Amino acid sequence: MKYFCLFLLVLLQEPQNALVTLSDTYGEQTVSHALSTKGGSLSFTEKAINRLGDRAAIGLMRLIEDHPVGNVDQIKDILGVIRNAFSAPSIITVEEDRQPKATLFLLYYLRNLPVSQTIRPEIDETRAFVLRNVKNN
Amino acid sequence: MPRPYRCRLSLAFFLCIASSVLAQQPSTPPPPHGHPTAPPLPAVDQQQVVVYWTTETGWNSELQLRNNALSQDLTVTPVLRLADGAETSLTPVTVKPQEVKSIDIGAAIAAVGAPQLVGTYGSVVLRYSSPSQRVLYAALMVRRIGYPIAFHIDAIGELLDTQNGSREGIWWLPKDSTSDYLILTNQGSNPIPLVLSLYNSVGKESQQQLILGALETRRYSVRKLAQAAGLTGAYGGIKVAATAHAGSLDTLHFLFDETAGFSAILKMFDYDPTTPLQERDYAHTGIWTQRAPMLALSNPDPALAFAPGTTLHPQLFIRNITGKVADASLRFYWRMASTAGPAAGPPLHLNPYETRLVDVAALQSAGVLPKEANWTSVTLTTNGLPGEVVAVAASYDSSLRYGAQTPFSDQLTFRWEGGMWEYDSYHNSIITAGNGGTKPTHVAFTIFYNQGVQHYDLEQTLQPDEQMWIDIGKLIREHVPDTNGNTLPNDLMSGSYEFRDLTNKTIGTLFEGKIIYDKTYGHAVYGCAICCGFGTTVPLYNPLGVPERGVSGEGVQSYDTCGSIYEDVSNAFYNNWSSANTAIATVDYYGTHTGVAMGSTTSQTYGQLQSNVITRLCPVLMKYPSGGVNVQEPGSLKVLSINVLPTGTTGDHGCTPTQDYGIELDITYQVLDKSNPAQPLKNATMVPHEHIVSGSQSSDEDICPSRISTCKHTTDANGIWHDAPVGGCFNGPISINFTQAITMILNGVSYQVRNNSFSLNTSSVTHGTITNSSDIQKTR
Repeated sequence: MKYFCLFLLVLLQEPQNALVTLSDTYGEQTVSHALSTKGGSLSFTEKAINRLGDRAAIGLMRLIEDHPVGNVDQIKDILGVIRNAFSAPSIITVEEDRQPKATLFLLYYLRNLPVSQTIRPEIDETRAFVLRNVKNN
Repeated sequence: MPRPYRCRLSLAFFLCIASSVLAQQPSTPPPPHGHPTAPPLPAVDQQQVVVYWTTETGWNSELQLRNNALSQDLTVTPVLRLADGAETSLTPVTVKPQEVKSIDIGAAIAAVGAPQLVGTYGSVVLRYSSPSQRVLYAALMVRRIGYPIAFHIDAIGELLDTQNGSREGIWWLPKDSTSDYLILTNQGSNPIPLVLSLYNSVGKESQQQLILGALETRRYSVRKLAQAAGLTGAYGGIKVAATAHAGSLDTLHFLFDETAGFSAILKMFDYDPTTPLQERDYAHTGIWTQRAPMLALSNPDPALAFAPGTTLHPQLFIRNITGKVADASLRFYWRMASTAGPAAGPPLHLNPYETRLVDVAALQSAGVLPKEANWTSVTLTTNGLPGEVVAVAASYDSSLRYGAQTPFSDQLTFRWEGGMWEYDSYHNSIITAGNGGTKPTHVAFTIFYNQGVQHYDLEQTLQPDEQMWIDIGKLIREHVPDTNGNTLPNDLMSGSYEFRDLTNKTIGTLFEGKIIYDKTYGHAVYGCAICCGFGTTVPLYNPLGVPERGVSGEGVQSYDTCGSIYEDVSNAFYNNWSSANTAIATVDYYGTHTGVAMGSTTSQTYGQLQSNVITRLCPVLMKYPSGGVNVQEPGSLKVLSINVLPTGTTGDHGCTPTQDYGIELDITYQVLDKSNPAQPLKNATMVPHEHIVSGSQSSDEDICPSRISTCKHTTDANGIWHDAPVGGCFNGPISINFTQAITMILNGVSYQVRNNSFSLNTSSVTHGTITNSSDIQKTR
């Protein structure tokens, strides 16, 4: 967790060319909204997540810091957001966010949670999905 | 003063200065891409006529058809006319783009079973359906079987509106054994009243009047006519003048001598006394200029494979066709294996109707041109109007057995589409293009082969008068790579070719020439190419939508009559734009319009393009395109179509199999203006923006791009755009409402254009309904 927090500090530096709204610099509100509409979303939310890319992972990590992951369903919802965030890398607003650095770190973190033992295959599939889409972009 | 304010004031000052400076500069040209292409011109019935064919004993005729279109096949029906005009259709021939096809007339006659066409002569009509006549370049090769006698005849179209004019030529009878034919053909259905005049070298005239019947071909011997008129000498002038239907007349004059093994074509020229210099002054020199690109000099090029020791006698026949004195001058640009250079020829003071012989061999002997030089281009300039001086070049040895010709032409153009070249054990082709302009130009040369599908490309920058010299056989034999590293196949025997002026794309500066030589006989035949001109010329946008207080780029496109496509020719129309009402819109140097106040007006420009109005030439003509201008503001959106995105995980999908309750749409909108009735706002720079509210959540973002490929950040040139995906996907049944306020951002100003109040309901998997209770309603 020490390294996780250090990594968060590095990632949470103000982006130089960010085009996201000032009120939601890290995509925290957007991913929070996506997670709150359990079991689906309206297209505008989906589109907003699509444009976040790696920034969605930062928003998720900030949420996790406040509300630690407690069960498999929560992990599944997070994986859905991550997939959405990398479903169309070409439309990710900030160029740097097309590289899933924070996302891979978050997936690694999730995979090593005691609660995630039964869902590791899905975590690995999500990791492969993200890498494949980034490569094909 | 606090520093931040000082900075802001400095910045404001800078911006004021900058905007003031920028306002005095012309804007940048409108973007070259993204404009709508004018609708394709409809295909209409076209025809061209070859003045002569023959199947008389010992003669053979071969038709060559080249399709200049870039993408469409061309089907041509050759029709043989007998001398009296009676017609017989041959089998239609389909030619692929850039392909050249050869048809043996004798075989084609046998195929349709038309014995009346054997052992006779007449003219050939080529009928086809196409948007423009110049899609087809056609030539007929006439050969005397077993003799070094061959020449080519170009097909031309009929000019129905041309009444007065003449065909001007030069006759030459180098030996007593030389025969000649002067062919007169009437392409049209009206008889043509003609005056046929022959002149001796000093201008003494003999004339006769005749009527050339509808569709008739008539064949004369100049030798007999000259003898009957008492004209003496070996050369002189020919005039065939029409006082009506001159645009239906075509003529041909050729020589042949079976004893000497000699043939020559004495090119005849169209003359229209009303033609102004600027129509044919392609290089803007103010002087009418003709060129012969490939005159073989005394020391023949070894590539021609003439008998060892052959010495040619190059000469020029130059004729003043008018009743006044004409001053002319000659210059040369000679070449040999390793060097090339210019030389000045003698000034010429031509008396009325005089035909002058210029002995180029003597100029070589006198050192004006190097004795070792193999070739020269000849440039002839005159102080008169186009067509008032005509010229023919010939270069043969003393027996006439070996030799070559090169035709004079004043034509310079941006694109030449060439006919068939040949290469085999007994034939080779040499092709050239030269720069007839006054500035360097970059030239692209392309060989098309394998039915026009494959091409071989070369490029070269040419200085004024310099020529690009292409030995086809050498390219094949020596596997010379082209600009893409490709080589020509070893077994390649024929194809077509093209020259393009990459520097001057609307009024070109290229002249061209080609000879095909036959090593069996030691005889070279010249071929021609067709110049390409522009036809219909229209604005890129009509009407042009201009935002109020904003700008829209306008340009001009013109129909390339060879390629059969529209080309952007905007740069030929710069600096001539004007607006009919500057209180509504202004327009700058480049055609960029600025909306001043809402309303409608027109704008126009003018510029010069090479045109297609004359069948044999591509004269420079002024074009005056104009179009409507509507100054507009975005006012509303019109729904053009609504598509339900399918369930999936790849491509443009809607819901996924794991969340398949609901519906997602791809909605196509067009932006309309605020006028009544509302009109499309055709502008490609508008950005759709949305403000979404759903319960306590809201979003304010540009609508596109999204993961759906149709969703682009800006509108297209017609103000059309896609909003996709619209809707939602869930794990189970749900009813949800949300509002979408759409604005269009144009030139930094946001215009409210639509409010959608959506209701989305889904009660079972793969189903859903979405509606705005108005013009958007979809269920799946």
